[in-house]
Amino acid sequence: MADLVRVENLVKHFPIGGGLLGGPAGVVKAVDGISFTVRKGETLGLVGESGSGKSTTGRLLLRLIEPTSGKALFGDSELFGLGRSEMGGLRRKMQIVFQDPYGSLNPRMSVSNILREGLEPRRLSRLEQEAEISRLLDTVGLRSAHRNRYPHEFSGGQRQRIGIARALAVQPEFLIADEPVSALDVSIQAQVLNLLLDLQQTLGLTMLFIAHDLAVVRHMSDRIAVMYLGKIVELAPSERIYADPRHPYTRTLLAAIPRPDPDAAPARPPAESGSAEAGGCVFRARCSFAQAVCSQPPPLREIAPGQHSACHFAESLPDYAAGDQ
Amino acid sequence: MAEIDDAPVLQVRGLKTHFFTDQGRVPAVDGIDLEIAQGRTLGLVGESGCGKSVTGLSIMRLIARPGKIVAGEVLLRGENLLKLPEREMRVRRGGEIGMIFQEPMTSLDPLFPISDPIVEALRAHRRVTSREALKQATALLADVGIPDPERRIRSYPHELSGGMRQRVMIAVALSCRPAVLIADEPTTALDVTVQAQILALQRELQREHGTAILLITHNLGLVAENCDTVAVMYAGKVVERAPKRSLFRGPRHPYTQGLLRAVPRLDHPPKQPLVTIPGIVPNPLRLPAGCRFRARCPWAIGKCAEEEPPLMAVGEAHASACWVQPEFAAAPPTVAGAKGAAA
Repeated sequence: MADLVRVENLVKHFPIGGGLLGGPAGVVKAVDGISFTVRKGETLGLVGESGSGKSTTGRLLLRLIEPTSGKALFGDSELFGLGRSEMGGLRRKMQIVFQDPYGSLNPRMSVSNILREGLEPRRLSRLEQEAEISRLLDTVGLRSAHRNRYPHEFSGGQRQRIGIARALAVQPEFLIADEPVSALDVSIQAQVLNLLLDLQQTLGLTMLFIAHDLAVVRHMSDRIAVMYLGKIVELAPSERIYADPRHPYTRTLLAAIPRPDPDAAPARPPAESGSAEAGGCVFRARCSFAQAVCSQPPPLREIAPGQHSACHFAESLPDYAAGDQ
Repeated sequence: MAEIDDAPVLQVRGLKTHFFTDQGRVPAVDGIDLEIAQGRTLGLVGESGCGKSVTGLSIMRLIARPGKIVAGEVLLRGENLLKLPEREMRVRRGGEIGMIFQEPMTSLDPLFPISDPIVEALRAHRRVTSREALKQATALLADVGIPDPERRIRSYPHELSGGMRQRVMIAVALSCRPAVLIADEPTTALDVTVQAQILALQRELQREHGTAILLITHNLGLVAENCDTVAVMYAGKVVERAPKRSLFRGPRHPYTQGLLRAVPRLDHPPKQPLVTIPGIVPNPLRLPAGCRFRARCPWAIGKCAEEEPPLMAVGEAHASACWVQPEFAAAPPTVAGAKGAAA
């Protein structure tokens, strides 16, 4: 499969205020040199806890924020070198769906006007626009009769469907979904996840699916990148992440998830974090396998076909039995 | 380790809490019964708006207008809290029933060090000097796993991480060794690794003190992990009640069955469609006659529209409010695809 998106050594540091004379007192390394590709037609999952840099990564790709350094290719275009107008053109091929559809939909615009905005670049006739709006609403499972309603008249799940319809209006090739279901109830979450799976199949969308819930990410993704403090610590096919994780942090994350199964062992809390020393492996302070060599930063390297781990001991970690924590 | 006595510490009987809004009456909690024994945890699960949080607040008598408890009893060791004068209730609140909420930042006052709420709770319920209260507060912080408690006790809420703040809230709630703890989505705002730490702590403290816990959550994983019994709420009613194992292995209410099927599982193959519950919850101002779940239910029959099903015994301590009571293994009759059903 060809790569649609290729990210190389992407870095985003945010300055922290409070230094002398209002200058920066330091930096937060939100994204600290990550590389990955998204293949055409696949879903790459990006999972991590707060502060892992997963959402920042999504925003960088859309250039909603500017990177500190690094490269990102979309097809043949170098994203970060593009001028305003070129980026505008490319943005039609890339869309994002956010966690809170209410915050991202204009409350003063009816659903049909929200969608019409997305249709503008396609220069359709008035009649074609109306037909397209009906088709989009149907695609995401909303009634065309509701097109003149306003966002507040819909439930959370329906608003997320509107957000998805708006993203689809521009006929994107690449969809970034940033925590698209974390504000939704379980029964509604399942409806929206099914819709996204369905759309990907019928439209051949390429997706970057960002979420903190590993079960949800695994459900949606072909491959998963696990992030921790701005780094990708493991990147592997979804099945492998669960069956044979090869980074201690991935194992910590899996062990901490409570299973909806009365016979499962209780979730295991991670070790308390020790003092964080600068440099080296980002997980070192909490890692039970850490040794002296971990003060050297471990590169993300392929340790089995398609499976990458940023751990010096990836191959020698004890065998892992899925589910048996 | 505390002895476990099977007599319920807390009983809720026929509780109704309604909200009298400008648009009409919202029966947020509409006649529910619950009980929790010493040292046990009851999970109260359901989706937003089902009434689970209002139940917790009703037990604490923290319902503000336009809400009102319109019927029922809340019995703490047999004493009806709803009949107590507010002055006496204040002694029970915090002293005998503690509560922790989802967002510890909003329940801690940013202007005061974290010692303040703990000392205040101790002094309100125990006859102790300030110095003694401060000493006890420091010991409590150590109990909830806060490192360096002598120094930390002078910290302000913003100086602590989310997980540490929730530990402080647990310390406040447990400061007077309450018989009952109401934990309303205590870990929903926290990362999953921090959640695991907080709940391990909660289980450990429960074992030590024999606290009866009402765990209010939408997360079925947390229920499986932490609860002994479970009550599932839908649109203001308890629709199923069972020991944990029966609920997960043999749920008999179609709503419970739907919830269990709709959760993505780590051990299922990726990218397969989930079984969904079609549609959305009914508008609480216009609840349908009969069963409130019927419009979304693949099993609904004529009777469901006419008569509201009461909780009926289906097994050992297991009750379900359904006229059909389908077996979990039975495939539901096919309904219109979830995609079209949402609008």
